Amino acid sequence: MSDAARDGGQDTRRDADEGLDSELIARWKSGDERAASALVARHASALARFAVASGERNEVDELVQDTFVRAFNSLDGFRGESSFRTWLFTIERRLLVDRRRSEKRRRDRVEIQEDDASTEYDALDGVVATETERRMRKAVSRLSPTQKEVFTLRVAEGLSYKEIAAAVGTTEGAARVHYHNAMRAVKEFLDE
Amino acid sequence: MSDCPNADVRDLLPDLLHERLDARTRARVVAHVDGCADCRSELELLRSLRGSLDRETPRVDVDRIVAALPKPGAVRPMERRRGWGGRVLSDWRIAAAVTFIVAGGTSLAVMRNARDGGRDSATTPAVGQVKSAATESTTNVPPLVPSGGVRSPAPNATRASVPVQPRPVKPSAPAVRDREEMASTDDQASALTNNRIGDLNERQLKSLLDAIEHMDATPITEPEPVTLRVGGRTTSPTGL
Repeated sequence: MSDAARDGGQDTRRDADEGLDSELIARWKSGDERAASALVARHASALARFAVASGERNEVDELVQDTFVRAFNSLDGFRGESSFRTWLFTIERRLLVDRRRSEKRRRDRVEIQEDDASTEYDALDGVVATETERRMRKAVSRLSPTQKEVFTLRVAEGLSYKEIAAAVGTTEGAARVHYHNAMRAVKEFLDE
Repeated sequence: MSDCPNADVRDLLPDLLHERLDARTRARVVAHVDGCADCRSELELLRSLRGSLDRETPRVDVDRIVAALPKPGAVRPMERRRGWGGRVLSDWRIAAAVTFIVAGGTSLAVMRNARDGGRDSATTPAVGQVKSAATESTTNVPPLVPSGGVRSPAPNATRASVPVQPRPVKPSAPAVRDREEMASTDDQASALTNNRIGDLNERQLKSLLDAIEHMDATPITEPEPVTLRVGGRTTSPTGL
């Protein structure tokens, strides 16, 4: 199956999503504040998932908020060359990198350790992770940072390789390789 | 857990999970998954991973985020910022800016010199310099009108230069005398040289107005008749 055929098979819902985002952005620019609520509601969870999957455990709420504030302050610079969601991931990823750099200087960042697959959020949410789920999280946590980002965007958000490439600053081909390597690594870990 | 050899279908499993396939592609992938145990287990793994990530993620307070956002009218248009490593302005903008500065500076110098010239008769205004130099340089060409108001050229006046900075230049005695001769013999030339209509007397003004009235420098504003050739026949849009 060719890439064109594959992309053609994916376009329907994606186009509708992008069309709705564009409409909401236009409404917000023309003064409709409710459009901002709709945009945040549509994308906030995905940004939070990406942050958590990337290993962020502290102040996820603030990170997502900063991402939106930065995005809305720069909406005039959004040219629509990528989808709005992809653009948000790009901004969040930059914020994550900045945050890690500054945190590295101050204190050790809390990471998922081998014996710490269950996080404080599990307890807060009242969710008890099953053994299978713990192993899955552990498998993902062992991936390289880039593999983790690509894998999360593909599995949790359903982004295309083109969108992932734009979000993490790589090529479509490299994103595909990262995804399949990550999937193989996860399977191997779960089979152990 | 083994991998299905059909890499194309495996590639589309996340899209199937997120319902991002068109109907035709979806039907094809589903048909394959139904008959492939490896793909079914991989799809199930993807579903579990997605659910796990979802449960792991804390809830986000949408209202708080919206409250922190800028108001629609409060956002300034984003300026395109580039580092000095990039090109800040395009070439044509630089050229336009340089042209504007040079033209503006020259105009300013000419205006200031003209003003100084009117205030101080001992100094030569830049306009006067340009005009006299231009007049003198044109006289190098064999005159169309024999003698009269046209003077013979000064030997060293063929180069016309305009100083960028206005600075008072003390003219040589022959130059002053030459200009005085022009003023006395040719009112129109004097008016143009002095460039101050308020200083002209009645006779000079009348002469100037007559010259303007007979001036044949009106630009052509109407298009010239166009002859079209259609199918071998020559026609004119105006019907002439």
